[in-house]
Amino acid sequence: MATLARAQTVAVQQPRFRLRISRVLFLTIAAIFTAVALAPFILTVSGSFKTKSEILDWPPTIIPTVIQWQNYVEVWTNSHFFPQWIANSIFLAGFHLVAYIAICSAAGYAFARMNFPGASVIFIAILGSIMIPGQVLWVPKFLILNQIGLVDNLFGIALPNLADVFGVFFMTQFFKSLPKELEEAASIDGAGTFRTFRQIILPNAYPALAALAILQFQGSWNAFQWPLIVVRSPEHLTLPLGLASFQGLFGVNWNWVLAGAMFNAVPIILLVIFFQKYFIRSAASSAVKG
Amino acid sequence: MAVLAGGAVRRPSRFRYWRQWLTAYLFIAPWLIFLLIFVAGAIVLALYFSFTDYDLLSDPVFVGLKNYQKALQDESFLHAIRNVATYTAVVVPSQTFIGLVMAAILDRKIPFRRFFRIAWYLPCVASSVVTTLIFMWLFLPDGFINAALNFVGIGVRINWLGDEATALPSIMFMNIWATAATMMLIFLAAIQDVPGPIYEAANLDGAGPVRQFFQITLPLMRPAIFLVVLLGTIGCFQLYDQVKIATNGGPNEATLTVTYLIWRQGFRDLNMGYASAMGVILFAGIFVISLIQRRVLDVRPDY
Repeated sequence: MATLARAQTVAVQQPRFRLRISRVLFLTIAAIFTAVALAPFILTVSGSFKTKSEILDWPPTIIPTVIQWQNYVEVWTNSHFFPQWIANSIFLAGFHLVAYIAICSAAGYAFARMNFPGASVIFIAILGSIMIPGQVLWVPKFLILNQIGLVDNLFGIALPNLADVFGVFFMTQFFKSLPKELEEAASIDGAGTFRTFRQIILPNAYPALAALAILQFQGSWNAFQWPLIVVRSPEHLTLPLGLASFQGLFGVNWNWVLAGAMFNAVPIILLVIFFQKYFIRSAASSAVKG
Repeated sequence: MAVLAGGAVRRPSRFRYWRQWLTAYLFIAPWLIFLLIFVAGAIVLALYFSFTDYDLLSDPVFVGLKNYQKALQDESFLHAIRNVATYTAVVVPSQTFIGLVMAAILDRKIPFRRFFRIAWYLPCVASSVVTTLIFMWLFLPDGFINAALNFVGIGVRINWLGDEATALPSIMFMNIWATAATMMLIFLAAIQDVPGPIYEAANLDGAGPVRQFFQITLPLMRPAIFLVVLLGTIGCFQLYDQVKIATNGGPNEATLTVTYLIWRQGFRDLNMGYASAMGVILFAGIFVISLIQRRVLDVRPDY
């Protein structure tokens, strides 16, 4: 009965013919949004295949007259640190993911399942620190790195990023949702806390860990502000920093800049398309992070 | 149990408490250490350095409130605050409105919803460096923005980012483009949380979809609107990447922002103390604004 009643109201909600005009209107607005959102990317792809002279033509052409792959080869070889920047970015993302996931899942598990004095005080104090904008801590964080000799070093970028609240909060919420029977069964079998965590809890947390990993990869791969403060030497730059230094280096060679930008943008766009579900679901909850 | 067993069991059980606490602290220790150094320690240091003159080469000198006084009389700092205020006043309402329209469209049963959702979201996932470089190119005098304007009959060749009058509006456009869909996702989650029976009742009362949106959906989404406005404001106050990459605060300080000034004072001119003081002022500003917004937008939804 209930389903029948619901089916009827749904039918009332969407009268096929009355809504036609608003449907056309909605679709038109949607099409305009889509064009504005995608045009810069499409023009970038086309620009990355243009010759140095064609990219300066007025009026600009939308489709290049000759498709030339040369820009991609040149950006890779002519600026001889380019492969190094990609390697640095991959290393940073890899290190960050492993360390971040390990640290946050352990701490999140403690907050979700263990009683210890000070737990709520620590948790609340730290949630409050979310309000502090990152730029306020640029100077002191840089000075701390300077003391321990990690300025102009990839670990100087990576280590301060592990002091993050979002991941622990995220994992705490997730572990709270797991059934307590998991641990009870394990403790009957005589497994200690560490073994239970590693062999029972973590394998059950894969969906949450994957969502966290994908978001963190995006953050690390795209990061600009903090790496810019930490590293100077050309061989230590990450890909975004290297790309940003391009326009100063090559000025007018927009065909190279655009081809270089593709190396940063394409992996992340593919990731979003393949793992849409994770992004859409977690983006709203991670938005608090800003 | 404990009473029956008496004192004999008590001691091991207290020992077990200690062991449990120790285990718990071991689990949070790696995270807590990083946090104590790079957040708690850094906050204390930021406050301390804001009361000193420090150039990295000689020892910090305590100067009291001098840096704060200097900031409030610094023409560049005041100019940066004005820029950021203008920028926020335009960008936050725009991204909120566009995000809301996007979410309202995706909430209807239109074709290609999944395609639209992912297409609109792509500007949010590309890095700020990539989107800024792309727009620097599109905004060139010979670029596609001018070409598009010429195509619709507006014959201009503006140097968007190089002209004092258009540089800040260009960065506004860039960032609305890059952030609207993030707001859309928050709104979309909130729209789907509105209880279905409310719509069913409205249907029985004969309210059309437009009236339903304005009289049911929108009022119930007040917490989401608060969140979007707050996050948008915090984001705008921190405007940095686009300015650093595209304009360096220019031309003639037209795009100077507070965070860019913090970088310039701290890391170009090595006035670490002054940079810290400006950071503390920025934090105070964000804190006060978020309290005011909380008041004005009254977060609780009333059913």
